Amino acid sequence: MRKRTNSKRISLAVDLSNKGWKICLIGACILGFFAVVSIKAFKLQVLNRERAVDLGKRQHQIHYTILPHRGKIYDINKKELAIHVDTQSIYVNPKLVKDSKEFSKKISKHLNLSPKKILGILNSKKSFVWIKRHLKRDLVSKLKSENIKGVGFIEEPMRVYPNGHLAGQVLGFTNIDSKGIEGIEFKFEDFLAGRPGKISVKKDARGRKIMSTNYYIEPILSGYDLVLTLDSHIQVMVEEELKEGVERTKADKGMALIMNSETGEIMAMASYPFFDPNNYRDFPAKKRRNLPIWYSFEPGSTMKVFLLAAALEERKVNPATKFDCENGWRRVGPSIIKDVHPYGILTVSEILEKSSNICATKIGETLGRDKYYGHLSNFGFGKKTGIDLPGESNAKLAKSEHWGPVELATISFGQGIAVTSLQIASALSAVANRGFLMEPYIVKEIYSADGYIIKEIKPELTRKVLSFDTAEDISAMMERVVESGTGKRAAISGYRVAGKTGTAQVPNPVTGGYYKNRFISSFIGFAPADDPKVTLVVAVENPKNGFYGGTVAAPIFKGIMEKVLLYLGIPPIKEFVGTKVMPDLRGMSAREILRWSESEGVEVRIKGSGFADSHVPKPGESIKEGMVCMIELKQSI
Amino acid sequence: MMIDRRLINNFGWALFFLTFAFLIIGLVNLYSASFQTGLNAFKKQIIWVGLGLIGMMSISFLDFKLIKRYTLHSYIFTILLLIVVLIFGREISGSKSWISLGQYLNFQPSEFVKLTVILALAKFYDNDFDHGPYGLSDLLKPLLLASIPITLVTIQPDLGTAFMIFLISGSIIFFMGVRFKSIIFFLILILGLSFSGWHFFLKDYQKERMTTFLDSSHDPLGSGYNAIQSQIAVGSGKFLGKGFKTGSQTQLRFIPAQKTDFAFSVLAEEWGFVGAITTVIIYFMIILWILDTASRAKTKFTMLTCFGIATMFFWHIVINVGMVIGLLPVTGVPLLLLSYGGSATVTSMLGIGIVLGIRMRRIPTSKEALELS
Repeated sequence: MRKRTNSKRISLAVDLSNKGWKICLIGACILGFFAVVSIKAFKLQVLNRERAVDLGKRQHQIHYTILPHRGKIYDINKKELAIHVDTQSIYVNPKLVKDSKEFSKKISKHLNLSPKKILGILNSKKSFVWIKRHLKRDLVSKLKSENIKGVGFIEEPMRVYPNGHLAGQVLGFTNIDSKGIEGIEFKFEDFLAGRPGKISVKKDARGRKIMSTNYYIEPILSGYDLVLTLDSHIQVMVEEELKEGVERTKADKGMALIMNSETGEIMAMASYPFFDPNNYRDFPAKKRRNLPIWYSFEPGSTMKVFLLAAALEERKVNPATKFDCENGWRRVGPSIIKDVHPYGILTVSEILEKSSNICATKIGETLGRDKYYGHLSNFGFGKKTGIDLPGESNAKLAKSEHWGPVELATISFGQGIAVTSLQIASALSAVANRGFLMEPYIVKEIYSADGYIIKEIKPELTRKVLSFDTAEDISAMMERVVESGTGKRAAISGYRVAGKTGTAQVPNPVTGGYYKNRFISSFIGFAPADDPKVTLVVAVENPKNGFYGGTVAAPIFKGIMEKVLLYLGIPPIKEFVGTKVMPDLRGMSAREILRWSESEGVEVRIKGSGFADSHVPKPGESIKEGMVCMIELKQSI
Repeated sequence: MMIDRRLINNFGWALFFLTFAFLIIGLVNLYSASFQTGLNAFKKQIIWVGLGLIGMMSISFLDFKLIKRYTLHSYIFTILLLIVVLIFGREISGSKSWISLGQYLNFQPSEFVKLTVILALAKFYDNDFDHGPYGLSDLLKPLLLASIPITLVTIQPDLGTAFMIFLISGSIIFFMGVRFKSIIFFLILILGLSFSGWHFFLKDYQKERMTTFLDSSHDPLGSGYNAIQSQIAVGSGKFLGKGFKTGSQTQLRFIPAQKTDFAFSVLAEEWGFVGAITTVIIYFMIILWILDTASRAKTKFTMLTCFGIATMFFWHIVINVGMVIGLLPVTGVPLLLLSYGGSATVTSMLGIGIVLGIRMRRIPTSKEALELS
């Protein structure tokens, strides 16, 4: 037995050695395979590695665009006029929706959309379709809990105007993508919009995001905040009074603009009917217009202010120069000019007070068309003021070489020329501001989101248009208008108000003439007349209860101006009663003396410059009613 | 049983350490692939490796005559298990190939069959005095030994494992020699079978795997997904790799079956070309070492057993690595000793144990040496 196994072993050994080639074959197989694997691995991992790395990166990372927050808009007191709220929008990838009928049923239940509309959305061939934008928070959480396949949510900031229609036309609005379309939103789009950021997020094979690995590949930049010169308190007063006035007179529309007389800052600007930018789709385009800068109209008698200013400045007349008003009827060329009330001889001051058209034509003729045109142009009529708002109108001022005698006559009392409320307000502020024409503006400061100031806008002088004396004379004449002329209804007790009425016919574009019973009633003015702080322009189109500027617009002006003066803390003039003891004013500056005189209701006359050196009455003496205190100033070294 | 001192002297330390090194590589790799999901697989695999080591050492000290004696018993036992699995088995991802012993212990009889088929074939040729090449009638028995488990595993269906058993037993049969006419006959038979199989037996997903292999880019999110993701992982590993636990394809779970069939792509991604080739070299060293043992074997049985175990490792690495780097279609074949999976790990370690046992006894023990002289 044992031997046999032995011999078998030997034979097997021989057998194995005979099969040496097989071992070689196996070795070759192994080596061959090893070579193939190495080559392939080398190809993958060394030669073509960038491709694999690229493919990997592409599927490991998703890029998201993060929308920036749009800058806020504040009023001058940092009260928010336009803000943003974080909302979510819902979209669908139609390719992932399997049962579109059930899907539309589910969605329509929540979103108040018709199932038909949703089916239409699902028919889209795109892989991203909005279903509804800017959803409320509770609705979003409800939809999210439903876990409907194919649906996704995206954070989208939405613009909100917390004060509703307040200054709606001024602010403008943004579209659903938060892009400014009108108003300040449009004009300052570049500042407000910010820049979207791009974020890279790692995701795993199931598409789950791994948020800890976020990093910005393009940084996000929040929009800049704007601070306006607008004061929302004043805006409220203006809008309330304007609305009431327009409704009382059953007018078509109304506008009001209030400006800081000294700087050109717009304090409030209103157009009625109002416009709520939160629901901009509900308003027709014409209600979105910012009327004070867009709407141009023939101003009528308010223009006489600038006629007289030009005539006085050119020394063609003085306040006492007399003109014959020809009893209310005058022929100029083929046209007949009429006054509302017939007058005889009037001084220049009275002409403004009574608003005589006939005498205005005569002053215009005395001044001459070129000089008149030159001054109007200087005041800024016929061209844009350059305010930082979009949609400003040039209005219309024909060149003087095209003016015939009739045109000169009508333009003298404000027909045949078109202006915007802003142009008038700006020109009138120059009168109030002792002849200095300022550039109107509404954006005061621009801040970055982290509070750094980007831009600060300072008042800017456009040019000097009147001498000090002319401005004072016009101011005094305009005060007379309110005291005893056509503008009595604008008088405010305790304040000196300068104003002028305007009642203009509205041109009929069909006939080329004027509508018989369609007017624009306006009132322009500033206060306090001796130290003007605010300029106010009110215009009402097509009032049906009365039509004179003095009856329609003057009360609105008064209502606004009275509140604004109080709000600004400008003290009313005290009635001077009895006697007072003169204090020692020596050493005070002119400004301090004026303040004292205003608060005590004492009239003062100041001579020289520097600080008070001596005065009559002397300290301790009594001041009698109607007495003027003479105060001499000297430069102290 | 007495343990001879020389047995220890002749112990195959090299093979032991190569295997051990490879097991460590596998565990490190598995740690990276599973640490995000709680290391469950890692802990289980440690237990399996421990069990495998015990099994490997025990079987190496068993006299292989004992193994030879119980070869047919173990073969029949595993065949019975295969039948049991078809009736009581647990279905995981479409294949009924698991026997569940409680919640934590599942095993695949089809893995153990690989070993018993090798032993059964070795025993058949050992009993046979003829030296090939064999004709058809001679091959009836070995073909039957191979085709029973192949059929049973195909029914599960686990085509990957069935194909592996086919390759292993085919290699042994061809190694022992087949007549030229019979080769022609088999070729025709295989072609006919595969043709009819394609049309009648292969399931749609299996067909799709084949077509996908031919052009993996034609459906990158569908069936080509696995192949593409694996190649992205391997390629983006570049020369030196992304580093332990930092492979983005792995950690973001883009690699499919990254603990089991695609464990090698995790390795290639995190350790790069250098790591991948080193691993393959160690693997081939193990195979060559087993083949070396085969060539020094004293009996047909031991020689064929070693040879069979070598082919088992060889075909696994060919099919698995070929799949991972995109040379071969995606089949469910693990990389032995590297992939997570208890049955495969224990089976391969038992195989190594048998080889170690044969190697230890290659030099005759004192008694036998005396008798020889």
